[in-house]
Amino acid sequence: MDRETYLYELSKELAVLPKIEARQAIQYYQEYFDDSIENGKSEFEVITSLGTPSSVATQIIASSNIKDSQQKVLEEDKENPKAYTQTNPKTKSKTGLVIAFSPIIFPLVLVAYILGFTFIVVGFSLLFSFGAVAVATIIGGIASLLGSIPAAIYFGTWILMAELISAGLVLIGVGLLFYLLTLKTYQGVKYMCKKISSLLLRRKQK
Amino acid sequence: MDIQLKKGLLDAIVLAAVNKGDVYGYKLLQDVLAVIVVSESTLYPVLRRLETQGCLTTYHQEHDGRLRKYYSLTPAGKLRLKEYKQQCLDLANIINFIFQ
Repeated sequence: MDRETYLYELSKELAVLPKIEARQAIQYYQEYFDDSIENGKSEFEVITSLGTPSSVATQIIASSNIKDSQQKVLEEDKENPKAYTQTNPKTKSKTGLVIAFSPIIFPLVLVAYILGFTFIVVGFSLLFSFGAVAVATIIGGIASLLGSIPAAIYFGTWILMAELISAGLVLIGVGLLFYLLTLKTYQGVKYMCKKISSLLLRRKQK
Repeated sequence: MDIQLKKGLLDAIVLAAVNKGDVYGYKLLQDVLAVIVVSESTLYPVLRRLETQGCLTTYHQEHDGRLRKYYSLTPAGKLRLKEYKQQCLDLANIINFIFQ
């Protein structure tokens, strides 16, 4: 594909936009081709680094749609919501202020919330798994202790009974350790939840 | 870098780059690419949006028998840049907090 074909394809993709918008975009990319080539790039290089005409067009159309919807929100009580093409400069600068605050703060707040949420989820998963291990090992230990007597009688050896009893005691010990760990984790998670919620709420009030 | 974060920063970078002096599309893209990695087709929509919002104005200048479109910052654009600078300070605080 050469430059002329590329720009032609692009202009076809942009046909959904108002004519003046499409023409400005084409002029921009014409100039971009000229300047790139002047700086020693080939048409082929420019085309590969830009991507397909349809992907370039999609970005242009998407951003003009965002503009429409943002202005529509501001103009929702006006009679003709499509008047955004002729909005006066005053409305435009107002839109500017609204947008100025959203794109940088919103992702940050989102990231903060996601981080907080992740910490809480991780905390609860730890709590749950430690608790599960504690319960399982203690139950296993008790079962092993209780089972030692019938096992010894059934198989007729005292060594087996001694082994089962010691295994049971070890399991109960491990289980108690995990029980302590669960308690500590519970306190940690509680503290973290309080911290995170107060932090996020404070940010919100600002 | 996270895409949303990039998008938010891109406006600020473009405004700051134009603030250093009127500039044409190709040069501006090189300036932007020097600080952030974006695909080459991302810049036009940003420029167009900032222009419709009244942050940038454009004029043409002849170069080598053709026209180049120059972008320059309006008072509204300067104000916006100032707001972004303030937000970047807030961001610096957040970054400090995260790394503490």
